[in-house]
Amino acid sequence: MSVVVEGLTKAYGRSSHALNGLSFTAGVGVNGLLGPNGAGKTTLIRLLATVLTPDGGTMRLLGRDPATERSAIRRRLGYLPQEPGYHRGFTVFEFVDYVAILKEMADRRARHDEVRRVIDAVGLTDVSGKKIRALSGGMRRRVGIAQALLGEPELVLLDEPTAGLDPEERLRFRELISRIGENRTVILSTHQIEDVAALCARVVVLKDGRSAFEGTPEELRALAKGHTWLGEKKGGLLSWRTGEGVFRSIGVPPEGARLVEPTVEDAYLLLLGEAALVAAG
Amino acid sequence: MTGAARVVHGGSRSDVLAAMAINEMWRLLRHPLHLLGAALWSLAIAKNAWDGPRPAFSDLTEPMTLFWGVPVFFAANLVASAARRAGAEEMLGVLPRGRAERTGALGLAAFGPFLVGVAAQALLSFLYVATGNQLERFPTVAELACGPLNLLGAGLLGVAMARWAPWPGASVLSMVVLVSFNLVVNTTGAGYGDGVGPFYLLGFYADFAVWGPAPSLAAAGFNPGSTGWHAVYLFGLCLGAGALAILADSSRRLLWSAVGFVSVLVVVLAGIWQLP
Repeated sequence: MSVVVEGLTKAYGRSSHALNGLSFTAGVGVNGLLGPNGAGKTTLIRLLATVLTPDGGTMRLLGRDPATERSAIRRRLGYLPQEPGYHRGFTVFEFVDYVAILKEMADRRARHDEVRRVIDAVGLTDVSGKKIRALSGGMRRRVGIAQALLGEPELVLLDEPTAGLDPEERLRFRELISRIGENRTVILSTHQIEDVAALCARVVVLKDGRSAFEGTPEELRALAKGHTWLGEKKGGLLSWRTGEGVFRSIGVPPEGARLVEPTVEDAYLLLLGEAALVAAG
Repeated sequence: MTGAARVVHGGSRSDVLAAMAINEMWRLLRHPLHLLGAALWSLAIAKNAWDGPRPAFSDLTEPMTLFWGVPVFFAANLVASAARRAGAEEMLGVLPRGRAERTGALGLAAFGPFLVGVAAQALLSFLYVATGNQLERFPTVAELACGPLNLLGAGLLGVAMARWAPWPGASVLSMVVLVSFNLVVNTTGAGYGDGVGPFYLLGFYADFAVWGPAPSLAAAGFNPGSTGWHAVYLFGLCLGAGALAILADSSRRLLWSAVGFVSVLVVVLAGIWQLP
């Protein structure tokens, strides 16, 4: 397993525990991190990226201990934070080249070949000479993924890479992330349940700083089997009116309820319980 | 290991630092403020340098500090703070070569304006010769060095300010302080002509032509001090600015504190020995 986390804790101040004894593993493929706001997803991603150090517990990344082998891990890591920033004056090529130098690619010719390779991989070859500030939000995110792919990292961490993107861009990202995950470990933190369902081989659902579920999307979906129904009125833990005018509900179904095949989203909401109600406002 | 992975692990530490420094140097040299500084200096030269032997001497030694040095300070400050202002520090902070190395590379990049300044002086000297422009006398090496040293110091100080005072307006405030300091030391105890005083050389903007064969100043007994030690004084300030910049991020605090201590010694001793 590329990532092995046991009993991880991280607190901000005395009263706020972002992670509270989290344990999970992740291997080659796309691994999803789901959870509501404040569940600890970004904190976990930042810990895995070695931006933060945990207060307790253990981590092994690519077989190494980040406490003592941080540099070795960073050489095999790619990271796209939730809000990546780009130097104002850089073009796409210049920025990715700048990062490539910081990834210790000293040989200019080889470095430029690698920069062109990753820019091509994310579909930005035609705009590589453009200033990043002139690009759309989706294209800027792709610049971020390009820099994360430099040097063929074995572990790629993506924090909310599709947030704020239109559906077309999100589809492009799914294709891109799916390709990235073919032969490396990708950990994808996201709110977008559809992305998890479409992309991820495994998913971890975080709740209150701990793992509420770890398994495949199909196993997650199965949690809601027998707990999802359609009806004329609201019921259960959570209910909403569908486009057909009926209510879709999750929870403990009443007698004679018309059960339906659950989605991953149904299972996620069922798992979150109270947290889902709060999120639903 | 894949080809790309070989690329990653192929560079030695010095190769990587050199690549970083060259990249940052290029960013600094092509920064609009640096280009503006070079243009302003060129205009000042073009306007004055053929107006007589005194201006010809003065323009070869003096205007680089003000017209070019001040923009270099701000350009270096902006280049050094670009990642922070863009919100890119988190993304860059997990790369194998971190902030300490980036600061070191930025410090080395400050030699870019220095080298361009040296080349500019060499070009101007050649133009004087080619056009038969007579100087009061040809400047000494120390006098010629002061302009480029001020460019180097401006660049290093710009980086240091970006690391130690990353607040809006801090760079402008620091430049106001520097200019004010220069004005004060230039004129403190001024009893001679041209508004100069005995502490003139403690400033960075020294018009060496002031104490050329100007009868009024010589008659007033003005002793300018040593331009050689003034160049060493400026070098000490550069060393101190560089140590200050790197100290902000380096884990080798003892080493860079020692360099800073040495620079203070150089500045104090050369600062005293340069004075009349």
